[in-house]
Amino acid sequence: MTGQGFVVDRDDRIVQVDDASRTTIAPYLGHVLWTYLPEARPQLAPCLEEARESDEAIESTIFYAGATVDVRVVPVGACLAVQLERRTELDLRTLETLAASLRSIEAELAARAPVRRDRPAPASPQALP
Amino acid sequence: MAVAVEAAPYVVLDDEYRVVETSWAADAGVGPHCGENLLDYFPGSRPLFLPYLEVAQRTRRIVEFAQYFEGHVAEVRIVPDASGLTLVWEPLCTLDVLTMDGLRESLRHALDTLRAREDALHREVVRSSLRVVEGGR
Repeated sequence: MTGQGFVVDRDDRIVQVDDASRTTIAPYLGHVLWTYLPEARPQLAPCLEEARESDEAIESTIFYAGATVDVRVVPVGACLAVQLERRTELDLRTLETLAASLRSIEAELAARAPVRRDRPAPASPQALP
Repeated sequence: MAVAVEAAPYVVLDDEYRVVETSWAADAGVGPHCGENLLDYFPGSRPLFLPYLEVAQRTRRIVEFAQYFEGHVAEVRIVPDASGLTLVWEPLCTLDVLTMDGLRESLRHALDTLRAREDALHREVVRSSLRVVEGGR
């Protein structure tokens, strides 16, 4: 899972994948997302839920499969377009490198609670005189 | 020639720590580095393994220790013989990096395992010393 984009329906089934994910996610088309990303549900599902409920784009950072992953969820009709981008990898080589990378990751996660992206305003506001 | 349990991964190193032989279990990770210095190909491994390799090489005695490296805690045994040093390792635990909870729990387990093995080795060293002292009386 490096940079991946896909679309899930209202039951979290994968219904579409981007070109970069053809070899990784495509075999899971029609399956629920959690089959492809086991144990990601507790972290990722709240982002999907919030995007559905608010009908607005949600951005967050989670830890999954040894790295922080930037998550962007955009409502598209009845579905959600999901973009996942790995950011900081755990460095497992030694206990020292592991501890240092874990500290960076924890700081990243603390700094990136879910953020709701406001929709663009219908018209640009006029500058105040 | 290697002195090893059949299923355990092992590598045989020459006097300059170049890989001269690997078991099938070690082949996937180490096999491609045959003829190369083992420590050069695993960044960060030198300070963790070199002191033990040097002791085994200098004393020509078996050296045992537990070590963390690349997500695993393993019990390592270095056996000096005519062909060089045979390094045998038995994986004890592996970090679970799928989720943060899994990582924390498996890291705790890994550190506990390391401490327990160090304590056990320390007790064995004390016992051996006592045997030497008592035998010398």
